[in-house]
Amino acid sequence: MLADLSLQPLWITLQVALYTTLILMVIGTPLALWLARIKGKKKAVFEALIALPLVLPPTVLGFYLLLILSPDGALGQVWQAFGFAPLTFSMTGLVIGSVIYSLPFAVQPLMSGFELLGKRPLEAASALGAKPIDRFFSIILPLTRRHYLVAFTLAFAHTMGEFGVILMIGGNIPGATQVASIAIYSHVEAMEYTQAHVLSAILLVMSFVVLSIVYGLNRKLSR
Amino acid sequence: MSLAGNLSLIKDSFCLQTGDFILPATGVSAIFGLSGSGKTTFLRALAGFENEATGQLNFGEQVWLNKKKSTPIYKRQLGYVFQEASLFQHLDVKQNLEYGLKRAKGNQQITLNQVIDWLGVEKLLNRDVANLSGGEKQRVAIGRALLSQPNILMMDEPLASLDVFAKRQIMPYLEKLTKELAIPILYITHSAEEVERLADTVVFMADGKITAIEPLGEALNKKNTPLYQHQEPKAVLSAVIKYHHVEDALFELSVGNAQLFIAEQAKKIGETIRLVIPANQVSLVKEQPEASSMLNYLAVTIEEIDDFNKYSKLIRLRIENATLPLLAQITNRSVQQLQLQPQQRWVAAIKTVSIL
Repeated sequence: MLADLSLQPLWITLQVALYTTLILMVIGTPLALWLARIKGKKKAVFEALIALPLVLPPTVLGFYLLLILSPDGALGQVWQAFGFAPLTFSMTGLVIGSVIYSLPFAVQPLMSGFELLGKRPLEAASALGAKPIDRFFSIILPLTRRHYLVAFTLAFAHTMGEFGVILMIGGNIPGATQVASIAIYSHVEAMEYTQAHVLSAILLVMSFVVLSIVYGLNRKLSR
Repeated sequence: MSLAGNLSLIKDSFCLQTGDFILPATGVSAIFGLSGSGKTTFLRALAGFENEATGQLNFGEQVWLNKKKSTPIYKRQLGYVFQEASLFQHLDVKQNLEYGLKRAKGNQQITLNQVIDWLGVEKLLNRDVANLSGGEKQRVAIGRALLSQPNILMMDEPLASLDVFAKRQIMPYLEKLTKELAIPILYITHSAEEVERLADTVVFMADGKITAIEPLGEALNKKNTPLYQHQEPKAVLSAVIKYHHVEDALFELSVGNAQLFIAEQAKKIGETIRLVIPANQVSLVKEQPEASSMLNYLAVTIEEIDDFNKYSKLIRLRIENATLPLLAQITNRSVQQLQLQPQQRWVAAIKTVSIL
């Protein structure tokens, strides 16, 4: 029975989670910096917009993403006009979907980190001759490293456990878009409980190990 | 180089409207005013921290702000010391000091060793900033600002967040610094004592406006100076230490052409110090008595007689060749009996002299 077990879904899951998290760190940083700086109604609206994936059913999010990413959709058309393969039912599509799905998990910790930091250290640094990029790497990043750790972990873990959105836009193509959570679902549907057990156990252990490392790091950084 | 311009800023319900100003190119300019008068907003606008500030600002030949552009702060080469030290928590003391040094442009005028010497931070260098006392933090913050090789130093009440003991401990460092530095220093304070000890010029602020920019002598001695509201009037004089009478444990000072004695201090002969003489500690006598236990009798000329309160007048006295006047609080009764008039020569008998 175990002969049917493929570990490919685990590998795809890790890839999607890693790419998604890295992209989120890069685009989440300026977004969170901007959100931490604005005030009033504008802030409320944009905070709500970014928090939407927290409350929307993944199928709703997935449905809209499918419309946008499909070859007839707004983004899909542009994408294909540049000569790329279709976004839906592809790894790239999965990563785009996951970035939006996990956005609040990356942006919210970063934003609270930047708000906590305040503008004073940055004012001090600029008076001492540091330019904006220099200020980011010499002041912001080291002083909010714990928030980056939290943002990285939450985004990564949340993407690993993603199901609904991926099912909507990536389907269930083994070896291409079949991630672990969907593979487990398929095995259960097919009454292949052993395979489901093995994959589930691996995910469980992996998640536990990742979180243990993160909490360990967090303790080290806080010293 | 002097800092000159005209700045406006509306922030929440507060309105800064400086009017045209020229801040001196040398020495310490104290920005003095009650809390809420706009001192900090003014200094922050000068530094460029307030993005909404409009108007114009020039530092010597450099344009810092006009209608078209605002020079980024990191290009202005200014040193800024905040009320709270605002050290970088992830760096130790030495790394904090070197942060600005590494990014400094142009010739290095101020070295790490000088700063260590001026501010007495040698023993702190490898310490974590979290473990410093308030006064130590502020000294490191001042050193950090100086090492960025600024062309102007701005300090926003650097002593305000410190307790009395830390203030006393840090003051001598500040005094030393203001004597050593060639660059202009802007110093916010609401303490008249800090003005007396450090300032060369006083910038008075009230309700978001600059009401006057005056040399210290004028600022201290004008009638109803905001420096001494709700305080007893007093004179601040500048004196040079002439002799050390070791057997008496006294210093002999010269103020203009006059001599004064004070208890010996941890100072050197030739040093200039500032004296405070409260107006109610000064009386006038026609001639120096032959036998008297008082040490300090100074020949003076009456310059002006002003009403002070119901029973007394405030008399401005001039010591020959002294830059700053002496003040005496004399009862109306005595003024009448002695028929005191401007231009008369008298001898001022001084009971209490304290040094700043």
